[in-house]
Order: sequence, then C-alpha cells, then structure tokens
Amino acid sequence: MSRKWLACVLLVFAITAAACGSRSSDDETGANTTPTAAPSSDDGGSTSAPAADDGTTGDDGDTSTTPAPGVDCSVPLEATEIGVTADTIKVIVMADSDSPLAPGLFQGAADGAIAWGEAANARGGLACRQVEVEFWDSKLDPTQTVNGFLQACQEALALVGTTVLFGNDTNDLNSCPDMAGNPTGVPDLAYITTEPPHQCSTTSFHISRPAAECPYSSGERNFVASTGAIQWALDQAGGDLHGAFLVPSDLPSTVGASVPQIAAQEDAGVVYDNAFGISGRATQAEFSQYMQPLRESEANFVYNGSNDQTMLKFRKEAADQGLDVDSITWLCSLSCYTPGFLSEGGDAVEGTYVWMFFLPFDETDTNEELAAFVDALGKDFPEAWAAGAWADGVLFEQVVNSIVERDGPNALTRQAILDELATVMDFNVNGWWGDVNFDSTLNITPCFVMMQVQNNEFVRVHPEERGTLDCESGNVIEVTANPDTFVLD
Amino acid sequence: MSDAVLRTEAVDVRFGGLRALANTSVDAQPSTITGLIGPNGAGKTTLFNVITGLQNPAAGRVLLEGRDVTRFGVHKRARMGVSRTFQKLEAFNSLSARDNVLVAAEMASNWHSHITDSARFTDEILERVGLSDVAELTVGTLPTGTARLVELARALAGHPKILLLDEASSGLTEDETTAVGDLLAQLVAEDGLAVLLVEHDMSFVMRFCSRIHVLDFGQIIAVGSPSEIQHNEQVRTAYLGSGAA
Amino acid sequence: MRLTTLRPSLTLALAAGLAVVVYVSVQNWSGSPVTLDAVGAATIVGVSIGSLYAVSAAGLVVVYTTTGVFNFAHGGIGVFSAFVYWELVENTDGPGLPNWLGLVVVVLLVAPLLGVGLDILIMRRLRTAPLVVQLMVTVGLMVFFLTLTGQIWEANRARSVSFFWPGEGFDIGDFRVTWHRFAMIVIALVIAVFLRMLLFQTRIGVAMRAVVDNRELTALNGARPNAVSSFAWALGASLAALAGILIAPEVEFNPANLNDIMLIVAIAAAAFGQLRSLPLTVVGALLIGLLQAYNRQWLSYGGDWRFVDDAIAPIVLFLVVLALPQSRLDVGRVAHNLRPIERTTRWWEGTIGAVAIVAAAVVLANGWLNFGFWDPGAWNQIALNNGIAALTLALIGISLVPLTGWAGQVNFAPLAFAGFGAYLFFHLAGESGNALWIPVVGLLCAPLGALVALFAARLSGIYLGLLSLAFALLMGKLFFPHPRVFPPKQGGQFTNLELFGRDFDERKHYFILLAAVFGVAMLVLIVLRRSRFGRRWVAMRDSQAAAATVGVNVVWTKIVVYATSAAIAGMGGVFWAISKTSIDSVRDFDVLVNFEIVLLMAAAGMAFPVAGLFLSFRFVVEALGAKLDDVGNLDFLVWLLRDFLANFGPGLLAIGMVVNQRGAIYEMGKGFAPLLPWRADAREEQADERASKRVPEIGELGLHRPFTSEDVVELDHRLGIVDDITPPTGYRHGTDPAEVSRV
Repeated sequence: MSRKWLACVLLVFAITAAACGSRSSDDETGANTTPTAAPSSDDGGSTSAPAADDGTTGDDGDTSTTPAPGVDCSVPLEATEIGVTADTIKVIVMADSDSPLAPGLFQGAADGAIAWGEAANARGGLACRQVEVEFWDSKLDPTQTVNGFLQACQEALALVGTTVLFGNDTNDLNSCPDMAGNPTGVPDLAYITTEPPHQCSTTSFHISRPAAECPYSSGERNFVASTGAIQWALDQAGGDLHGAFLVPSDLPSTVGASVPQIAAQEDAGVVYDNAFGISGRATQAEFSQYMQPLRESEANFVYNGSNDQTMLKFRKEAADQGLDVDSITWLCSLSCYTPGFLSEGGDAVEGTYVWMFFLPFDETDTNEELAAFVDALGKDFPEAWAAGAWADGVLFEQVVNSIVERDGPNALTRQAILDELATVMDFNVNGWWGDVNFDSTLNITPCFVMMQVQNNEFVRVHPEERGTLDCESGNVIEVTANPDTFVLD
Repeated sequence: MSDAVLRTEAVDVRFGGLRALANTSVDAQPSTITGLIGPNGAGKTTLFNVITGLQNPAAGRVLLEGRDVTRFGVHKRARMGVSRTFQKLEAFNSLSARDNVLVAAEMASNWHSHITDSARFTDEILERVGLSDVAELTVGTLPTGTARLVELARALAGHPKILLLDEASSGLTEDETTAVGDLLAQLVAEDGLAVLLVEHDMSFVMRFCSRIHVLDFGQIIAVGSPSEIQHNEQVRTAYLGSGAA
Repeated sequence: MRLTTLRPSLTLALAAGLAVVVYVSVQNWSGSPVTLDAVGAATIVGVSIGSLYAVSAAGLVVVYTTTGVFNFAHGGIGVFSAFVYWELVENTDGPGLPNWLGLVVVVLLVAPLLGVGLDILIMRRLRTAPLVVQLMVTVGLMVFFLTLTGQIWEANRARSVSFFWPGEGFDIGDFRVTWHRFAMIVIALVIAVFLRMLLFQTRIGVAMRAVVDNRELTALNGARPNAVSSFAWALGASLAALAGILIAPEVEFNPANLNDIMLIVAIAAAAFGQLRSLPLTVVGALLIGLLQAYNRQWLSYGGDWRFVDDAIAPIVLFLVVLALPQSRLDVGRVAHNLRPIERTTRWWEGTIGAVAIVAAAVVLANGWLNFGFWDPGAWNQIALNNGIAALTLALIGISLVPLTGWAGQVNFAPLAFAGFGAYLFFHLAGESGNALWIPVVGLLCAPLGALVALFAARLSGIYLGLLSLAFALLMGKLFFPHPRVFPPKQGGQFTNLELFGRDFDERKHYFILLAAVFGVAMLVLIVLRRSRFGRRWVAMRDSQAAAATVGVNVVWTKIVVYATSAAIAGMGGVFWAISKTSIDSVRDFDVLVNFEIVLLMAAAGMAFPVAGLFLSFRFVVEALGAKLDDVGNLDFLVWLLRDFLANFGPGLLAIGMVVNQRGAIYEMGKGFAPLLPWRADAREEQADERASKRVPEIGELGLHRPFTSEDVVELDHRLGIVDDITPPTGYRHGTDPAEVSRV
C-alpha cells in the first residue's frame, strides 16, 4: 500500500472525526474572531465589532448611541488610548478553551464576556462608543497566554473576564506601554487566575481571588477568607464540626489555595482531623482509604476544596463503603455548583451543601442583571466562569462610566482605568454578587448564599429570602498561613 | 606451542542445559593461518565470541600472548590485538566503506604510535583489500560479498596480532576467495599476523591453513596439518556420519 | 527475575535506594495507626487498584510478546474505546445500551476491528523498522487517539461511566468490597491465566509467539503470519478496550487522565514482568497498587516531597529497569532507506545553512519580505514571542540529534536535562542573566547526562527508552516541583539575558540571537558528525558488538554522547527558561511535553540538526492560519491549519514515519539536493533511481514482441537445457521437448 493511500486514509479518518466533534452552535473556525453568542447575532465570525451596526441585538434596533447619564456625547470623540477609537472600545476576553486534548474547557467565559458586550451595546455602548469584545484562546498554553497579554497590549483597552490557568508570566501584562508610551500595563479584570504571579499582578483586579497580600512571596503570608458559610454550618451543627478537608494536590498553587481556607475555618471553630491531598487523577477506590479515619474520628463534616468530580466520587465511595452519610455535613464551594454534579451524582450527592457568593441562576426574577445574563447566554444553567466574565464586564462598564461621567468621554486611558479600579468599593454586579472592594488584594466578599442539593436540585437554604445574600462583615476572617510547609495527609 | 599468540584453555560455555563448548582448548601461532572447522552448530562462533569477549565462559581461560584476558572487556582485548569478522554480517551499514575502516583505524592510531595518519592508513588498507572503488558507497547497499570484504578491511585496520575470520569466504566468488587467501598469506608472511579462521569451504581451508582444529559438539576432536585432518577417521565420521565411505 | 545475576555495584545502588526509601518513610510517617483493620483496608484498596493496572499491563505485555512492538498507544486505544462505550451506554442522547451489551460491542467488535485496521495500515510495516521508528509511531498513535477522543467528546460537559453493580458488595470487617472491584480482581487474575494458556497452550498462541521470533519460519510451517499478526493486534486492542472501560468508572473521565493511569503504571508493571512474563506483570501491578495504598495510608509529605505519591510507579519502573540482568552487546539491525553514496553535510554547507537561518530571522523579524500581493509586515510581539518559543524548543530538540539520531539511544527526557540547565542557571545567574554562565551550565549538565548513561549503559532497545521515560517522570515529579528548585517569584525567576553588557530585553533582538545560537549549534553538530565522534556514535548504533570488537569502549562512548546531549539540552533550557521568565514547576515538565518534542524531532528526522526547526510546527501552522484568516474567505484552509493540523499534526506526522522512516527532512533533502549546483552526486543518484524504476521498452531489448512460455521452452530446447520442472500446460502429448530430450 503506497504512502499516499495511507496518508489519505488517516487524513479522512481524522478530518471526519474532528469535524463531527459535537461543537457548540456558537463556535467559529478561527480562535481569534468574535464568536457569535448563542441566541442573536448573525455576525459571521469576522473580527469587527459585533452586532450593533447591523441592528441585530437590542430591541430598539437603534444604531445611535444613547448617552449614559451625565455624559455629553456631542463632544468630538478621539482615540485616547490603545483600543479606543472615535467609535469603538475594544476589550479582549482571554480563556483557556481549545487545547488539543480538552477542547471547550472555558469557552463559557468567552460566551459570557461577549454576551455582556452585546448587552452593553444595546444599552447604548460605553463612553459614547460601541464595545467590541474579542476572544483570545490561550489553549492551556503558557506561550499562548503570554500572546494574549501581548495582543491586549497591542490592540485592546483592557482584558475583561480573564479565565486562564497558565498566567505565570505577567511581565508583558504589567509593563505594557500605553499610547503615550508609559509602561502602565494593561488593566486585567480577571475571574479565574490560579497562579500566584497572576494573582499578584499589579494590573490585575480579581472579583473572587486572591484574597492574599501581594506582592507574592513564599513562606508565610497574610490572607483573608470568607467564612460565613462555615459559621452558618457551625451554628446548624451546634458549634461542633470536625472532619476532613479535601485538598486538590496536583499543583503547588492548588494546595496553596486551600491552606488559608483551612486556617480560617479552623479559626472559625471547625476542627480538621484530616486534610486529604487528592489528585485529579485519583481513582474512586483510593477514597475508600479515607473512610476509616472518618469513621474513627467520628467525623461529621467534610469540606471539599477541590472540584465537583472529587466531591462526587468521595460521596459515592462513602455511600459504597457504608459510611453514615446522613450524619455528615457535606459542604462544597462554588465548584460543585454545576449541572454535572447533579446529573452524574444522582442520589449520592443528595443533601450536599454548596455555598457561593452570587445569586443562584434560577432566581432571575429577583435581580435584573442576573436575568439579563441568563437570558443572553440562553442556557438554564450557565457555567460559573460565564457569570464571572459577565461580572467583569459589568465592573468594566461601571469603571468606564465613572471616568467619563467625571472627566468626559475622552478621558479613557489605561492609567485612568487602573486608578479608578483601585477605588472601587462595594462592587456587587448590580446586586447579583456579594460586595467586594478593589483597594487591595487582601479583600474578599463577606457575602454568601447557602444552597443544598434536594431532590437532585439546588435549593436555597440560607438566607431564606430569595434574591438576598448574607453579608455580615464578621464573615470575613484574616489569617496567616504558610502553604509551603503544609503537610497533607 | 610456546609463544602462541592466542590460546584458550578448557573453555566451557553453557546455554541453559546445552553445553555449547566443553573443555575447548585451541591455539593460534604467529605467522600461521590456523583453521577451525566442524559441522554446523559445533560451537565455532561461540568460541570466537569467547575469545573476543562477547561471551563469558563458565570455566576456562583465554590467553593472549601468555596474558590471561578472560576478565577483560571486548574493547580492551581489541586494543591488545584481537580483531574479528562476523558470521552474520556486522558491518556499520549506515557508514561508507571508508568510514567503516576509518573507525577502526582511528582506534588503532591511539594504540600504535607508528600509525600517524589514520586516513591514509585507511586508504592503504582499502587499496590492499581491493575496495577503493566502493570506498564512498554505503555499506548497507553493497552486495554481501563486498560487505564482507569491508568487514575484513575493518578488522585489518585494527593492526591486530590475531585475526579471527568467521566464514569470510561466504558470499564471495571463487576468484575473490582466492584473492582473500592470498592477501592473508601475504599479511602472515609480512607482519607475523596470526589468523584463526572458521570456514566451510574445505578447499580454501586445505589450501591456505597450515594447521587445523576440528570442533564437534563443542569439543575439539582433532588437531593437525591439513593432510592429517583429511585422513582422520573421527573427522570423517563427524562430518559425514558413521557408516560413510 | 534472577537476583543472582545482579552485579555487586548494582546491588549496592539498590541497597542505597532502599535506604533512602526507608529514611523518607520514617521522616514522613503520618502517625496513622498500624492496626490490622488499617492494613487490611489498605491491602484491599491496593489489590483493587493493582488489578486495574494489571488488566492494562497484561494487554501491553501480550501485544509486545505477540507482535514485537512496544505499543505506547495502548492507553490511547483504551481511552478511545472507553469513550465509545460511554457514547453507547452512558450518553443520554445516545443509544443507551445496557452496559453488558455496550461492553461486548466495544470489546469484541469495535476494538478488534480497530486493532486489525492498525495492523494492516501501520503495524505491518513496523516489523522491520528500527526501534526508534517503532516507538515514535506508537507514541504518535497515542497522541492521535487522545486528541481524537478529546476533539470528538469535548471538555465542556461532564461525563462519567458508572460501575457495573453500583453500591453493592460484601463486607470485610468495617470495609466494604464492592462487586465491581471484586470483579476487577477476579478479571485481572482470569485474564492473566487465560492469556498464559492462550499463549502457551493453544495453536494460535504458539503461532503468535513464533511469528515474533521468526516470521519466515512460521510461514513455512503452515501458519499465515499476516493473519496471526492481525489476531494479535485485535487481541491487544480488545484488552486495551476492556481495561479502559473497567478503569473508567474509577476516575475523572477525561482522555489525559485515563491515559495516565492506563499507560504509565502499566509500563512499570510490564517492566517488572520483563515484558514477557504475565504472572510477574500481574505481581508488579499489584505491588505498585499496594505501595501506593500503603503510602497513602501511612506517609504524608510536606512541601518538599509533595508529589511522591505520583512518583511511585516511575520509581518502580526506574529500579526495575536497573535491576534487569545485564544484556549482551547488541548485534546490528539492517538499516532502511539507505542512500547508495554516504554523504554527510560539509561544514561549509552547514555554515551556509546557519547564515541562511540567521538571515531569515532578521528578514522576518523586520518584515523586509514583501510579496506584493501579501505583505506580512514586521513581526509583531506575538509573532516574535512564538518565534522565540519555537527556537528555544529547537535548541532543546537539537540535543536529541547526537543521542538518538546518531548514536541510536532512545531518549524521552530532553526536557529533564533542559530543566536541569534552567535550574542551574537560575541559582548561578538568575539575578544577572549573564550569558557567560551558559557554557558553564552546559559543562555542569554533562555529569547528569553521564549519570544517566551509566544507568543506561547496560541497556538497549526498549529498556533504554523505558529508562529515559522513568528518568523524565522522576525529574518531573520529584525534582522540579521541589520548592527550592524553582521557587515562585513575583515577576518570574529569570530576567533578560545579558551578553557583554548588552541586555536582550527586546524580543526582536532575542529572537535573532536565538537564531544565531541555533545556527552555531547546528554547525557544531555538523562538524561533530564528520569527526571521529560522529563516526563512532553511528558505528555503535549500527552494531554495538562490532564497534566493541574494533576497540570502541561502548560504555565510555555512551557516556560521552549522553553528556554531550545533556549539555546541549541544558544550555537550550537556559534560553527556554529566560523566554518564559517564569517556570511552572509541575506542568512545564509534564511527560507529554517531552513526548511532543521527541515526536516532532523524529518525524522531521532525528539525524539532522536542522530538524530542530521543525519544532516550530504548531506555531507556523497557527501563524499561517491567522494570516489566512486575515485574508478572508479561506475558511476551509484556516480550519485545516488551525483546528486540524495544529491539533492532529504532530501525531499524524509521527505515524507517517511508517513510510518516512528517516524523517521528512530526508525526503525533502532527496528532492532538494539535486537543485544545489555543487551536488552533482545527488543528481547522479536521482538519475540512477529514475533509471532503475523505468520499465524497459520491448524495442530496447531487441525484441519485437514479448516472450511467451513457448518461446522459453523452445529456447531451452535449442540450448540443450533439460530440467525436471514441468513445462507450462498447453503441450499436446508427444511434443513436450522435455520428454523428447530426456535420456
């Protein structure tokens, strides 16, 4: 058989398979183009501004920009910064989506940011201009992540909705020269940033992490943690919660994220007899070895600091091993708030508590922003990182509006945005998320809502009133911890 | 028997339950072409492997110019003057004929101060063996016979004291075989080279060897001059089976 | 495993290793009580998980003993099959077959078909290929299957495979053994016994083993080797599928994860069984499972040794490979695709090449190239960033040329050496970034290479590859993640390179510098190839035994080539680290990254220094795709480049080595060389090849019509040739010339 025949067969096989891949309807062939968000735009994947000029989104079909309150849009608009022209503002959403082995991973973040952009344009745009949201796929690759920073540096005003796992090298992000040539860096409104260099990047602002002091140094550091959920759980258990913390052990950064949590929760009154280091590659069989310590210490509490799959498998194994699962309080963070947790978990995850810092997706009747988000994404249960990206968009919008209301529509520069971001206090995505301040990295929202899996659904448990969050300031605790020396069981 | 270049004493080799060599003692004198013959499977190549160090004997010794080299590694014995060719061709197939020989010549120039220019030494050997025409050709593309000559040239480039040839004439035409024999005779006469060769071509053996060892089932059954061997009853039986004419 | 054949020094090394293990255990005792219950629980878990490993490892060993090919794609086939199973059984949008039916369909239908297909298309041609090619093709297949699986079943939805008897089981004390896990243990044992019986006591099994030993002889004895081989591959694929489906419920169900468990530990267990003994393989698998379970139960590590949990299988692999009985010096293997005239690149040709590379870098970076209709423009920061990434990988990849390309030593650990170089540079010159430290780093990396060579010296073939794999895993799991090796630093551990007072802070300058460094490295290697070192290395690869008999000290030569390779990789690693500024101590050294470097180098042509440039494959494809995207209206091409080639390219190229055994550069060179004015020899060769392929015309032979069989017989008759071979049919009785002329 000749080599041409062999090549053809392989080629056909692979092309067919790749093309048949169950791609979501809003995917485009080019990673750097603006993918169309699910419901609306018929924009065919070009890099130009989405929608508004074609009058597709927005009910009014009005192509004129309605000015934000207090802004005079009759002033001649200038290109005041990289990514700002007379009629458009360009931002980039960077997310790890199409790596060869795990395509589609954080595609939701791109969807969320783009949806926000369209919604913002429907509201009349920002600073009298239309918003263009470009998606940069970092593909779980450090080089591509840096390329994303470079792209933003070259073309965008800011990064909005950053959701990357490989942000180790932030030099370009932090020293990017602006239009005037000053090394101001690119404002980075981020949601998921797992690596310490990214978390402590001087131009990055995070709505959920790092909750640690920066600049980063190894050894002991100061952290803040939101322990409202834990305190509520303690109250429910009469002050006695003791058991195990499930630590994701695959990377130093994942362990490092759990250590301050453990310290803070212990300060709040939980007793952790065990902190099990669990790898993403762990087999369910391994978990059976953790049941004996739970039995022996008569644990009544298991907290999951890892992803939903870990909690799922742990609970399944506990049930298989005949542990008295009903006597244990199973508490998970936001990572368990996924449809997969319910569908794959079934009965095994019944009763699991899940706490989060924004309103659940089914409470669209209680909050306009949430309603707009769910509607724009077109899914009943969007991903958390889609919500995060949208939230970053709202933050960006708020910051831009503050600047132009004060200094006019030609006041938009990266420095101005950075300065303004650092003053934002009590930002809550128009009531959808918990309040958070951006004046330092040592901040975290005190707000939480406690859900519970009941009859294979996420049901609100506390606070009881829909559309509300528990935001007592006492929820936040300061701790000092040393992730490097922490010993895992 | 005294100043033998090579001598093996009571060498024993076992492969599992099979005793490939039993109490095998051979010797090779300087300036002599010694033959090693025997039926297939007699253990000739195994003996060569023991002598060169590719095989460790269960018992016995190998002596090179009186020195016990049984513990020495293959390359060390090469440095002491042992060269060989292989029954199943072991040329450096990706290299040219010249480079095959050059590799050996470069090693030899480290050991022998009189070899100053290994490149020229290589060319001389190629000339002598009749390979100058194919010097730049890749050995893996040469016909087997020519490749065997390359192996021979490579073995000679080591400037050995004892040359072990394992079926060197296999794949060669009659003329080529005679040429090899003549070359060997010359080298033996000029440099005092000792040659120990394994052969199936009896006319070659009888013509060029002055002494012959016969190996059968791992044991030496006869030693002597060609005519003595030709008339040896045991040898006949070994080759032709009992009851043969 | 005969312990009596261990050499004294090796025994010492193993004893030392054991001492270290004991020390580490004592230091890191978790304080968990050692009760009978605890021991029992850990043992049961260990045996359960060990059985998973055993099923996978058994498949690997069976394939090796019946086909002679070490199939790195074993895990990939298993992963793909497991996902097909998921599609058939678990996908709510799919057919929703009952699990036993899905199992039967996949294991007894889909997988065997896949195996037979692989055999016919690919594996048959690998039989006589050099080991490196075999390994590269199977690694390419692994990457291909993993990518294929990931692309078909995307990561944006949750998937899992359920246990066969969820929740039910029996109790041993406090501990519950589920039926699924019990079944795993039973299945593992049954499979081991069944396979052993199959291989030793059935005709087909004996035929499978015979075919590996001596194909021609088996054919002469009546078996059909091709059919037997296909059966062997079908069996292997079935076993892989079975393992994949049985393991799937236990793990987070994604391709990389499943492959990790199916492959790495399976390799360690298979090595324990010396790649041929099924009982020992099962023992090895169980042993690893038990070690992991006991480790989990009673040892807990602080930051320094946090990843030891993951490192147990690689440690076992490393020790097992070391403890193998020493092998004789390898005899040679016939090389393929040899050109009639051996010609290595001349130093001045190398110089031209190096200058051309630097010139190209300068031109590209500055955007001086303008096609009129298409002006690429000066490279922006992104293009430069990609170019730098590509060149730093090239500098690391080029280290494989002398080691694997010339000396034939399979090496899966280029990044391990590169990372070591980066580590040295960080601690010697991280603050200053002074380039003068780089040669020092190279010199210091050489001993690490020499150390590996010492371990590797007695190994050959597949065990050498496995040793390097173990080394890469150990470095990646034990050394690099250690907090003191690459402690995270705000702003990164590495500053810009500084050479003679000049700071290379601009990407453009660094890019051109890297091109120059690569050019120099290429030139140095070309010169090295033409030196006595190059000759010796190739000689050693072609026939270790013969090389030793001409006086080459094989052990020393291996040490030298490993040291050289380590030095080159170490220096490349410095440039690589500087370009990244910040090293991810775990993910940057993942074994899959090593595989990709080796794959691309092999597909390009491991024997050619210029192959290093091939490591820019993904970047070039991506950049081309981006450019075409800008041009517009070329959607299919853009998709082809960006989505298809970028993902599947490396795997497919490696698989393509089945026909391009010496690499793409060899093939391209054959076509390109005749164009060069001074390469008359290449033109001659090309003419010869064309001539030999040409079928002569009838007229050229002096005939006016083709010979028929009657003509042949007539000719024989006239020449007086008589033989006993029956003439072709068609003769009437009495006119048979043979009859007539017989005495």
